[in-house]
Amino acid sequence: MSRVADLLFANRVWKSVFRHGYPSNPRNRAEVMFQNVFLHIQSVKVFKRSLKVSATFGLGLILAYLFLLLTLTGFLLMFYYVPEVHRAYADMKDLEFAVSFGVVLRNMHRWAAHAMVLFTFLHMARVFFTGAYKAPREFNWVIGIILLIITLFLSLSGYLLPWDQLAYWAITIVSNLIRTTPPADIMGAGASYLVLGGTQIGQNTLIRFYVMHVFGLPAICGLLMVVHFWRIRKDGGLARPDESNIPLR
Amino acid sequence: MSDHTVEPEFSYDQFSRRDFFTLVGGVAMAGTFGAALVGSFRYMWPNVLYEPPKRYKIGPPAEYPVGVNFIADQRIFLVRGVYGLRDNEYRVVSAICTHMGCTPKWVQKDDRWECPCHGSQFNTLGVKVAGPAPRPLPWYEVTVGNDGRLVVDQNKVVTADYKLSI
Ligand code: HEM
Ligand code: FES
Repeated sequence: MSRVADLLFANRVWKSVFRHGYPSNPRNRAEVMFQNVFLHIQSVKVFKRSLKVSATFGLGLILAYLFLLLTLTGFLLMFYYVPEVHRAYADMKDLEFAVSFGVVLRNMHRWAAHAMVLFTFLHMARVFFTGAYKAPREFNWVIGIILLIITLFLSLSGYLLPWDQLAYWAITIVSNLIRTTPPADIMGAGASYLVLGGTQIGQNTLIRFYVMHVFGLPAICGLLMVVHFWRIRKDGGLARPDESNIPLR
Repeated sequence: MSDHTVEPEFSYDQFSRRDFFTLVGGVAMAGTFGAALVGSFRYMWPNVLYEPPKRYKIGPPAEYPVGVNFIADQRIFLVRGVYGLRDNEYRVVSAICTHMGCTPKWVQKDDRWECPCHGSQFNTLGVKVAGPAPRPLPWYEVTVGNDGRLVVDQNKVVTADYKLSI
């Protein structure tokens, strides 16, 4: 048994990847976190209370997983969906009826998007009711607000892509809302011209929304999520009720 | 250069060679990124649009019966021979709700347009009588082209008493 283990672990290749020994002592357990780019997002030590389910209900993590799920399913959807006004709707139909597992992917993407909005509000509520928005975490709350807005923009831009009646009229209403930005003749008209890529909803609008949906907004969202997570650690871990007694680091 | 330079105390009065280059570098950076930003915005502003023209031909006058005709492709209503018009008189009104841009529906029995989205209603003059729409429906100039077909010009908004007589 130990011969097999030696063969597997006591060689140059394994040691070039994993620089630490088996996590059987505190030092190696810490090394596991330090030495791994994916795990080092967690602190080596956390407060016991922060590990309780009731501390966060895992709502922020659920959001991170939903974002991952949306990225993966969206990546696959892009292989069949073409953002062209004569094709887009037919491509959605093909995904539903002609592509193996297309309907599963499409619905996963759609439901995860709905869930993302829902869980964003739940997460915000948790942060609010635990007072975790207070100093020193105000800035992370602000980043959270931007994440909320980007989540909503992602939903909106995705809503146009099926190019059906719902999509068309939703964007009609939104573009007319934009058009009322005062002074409406300059700002409103200009902003809606930029968003639509013209004076009416057409091919320019579809490709604009598509590019924002599959690249622009997810890129900003991903970047801000990194900052959001980094800030949690820099702000001293998750908020705790007894925190006010502890001097700030 | 001596290898032991002592940084002078900071003072607003002294503007050193280093300050000068820092300033020049800063301005150059700001200019470069600023220009890239402005250029990117300008790039997103299309110069050529492949949209349907604002002035276009519809069918010959005789094609449209007396009453309110909805022309779906151009999203207009052609009104002929009713509400103060004779049978040879025409006018054209937009079918785009001035609230949020939905298509109001002509309701013959109530003599009015009703918008399905948020319930705006417009009377036979296009004036709002109910709902959130902020402005009346605009009327457009309609003329007869040299091939006898009607020509609508959405660049020319006219008053509700404008009419084309043939
Ligand atoms: C894309 C959306 C978001 C993701 C992926 C996300 C992710 C996370 C994660 C994983 C945590 C760790 C604690 C937990 O699981 O609850 C967290 C904490 C936090 N989030 Fe978010 N979040 C998002 C949106 C928001 C929003 C909309 C707000 C508020 C406006 C917000 C404010 C905060 C704050 C202040 C903390 C620190 C809480 C504490 O220290 O107890 N986040 N977030
Ligand atoms: S769009 Fe017509 S009432 Fe709102």
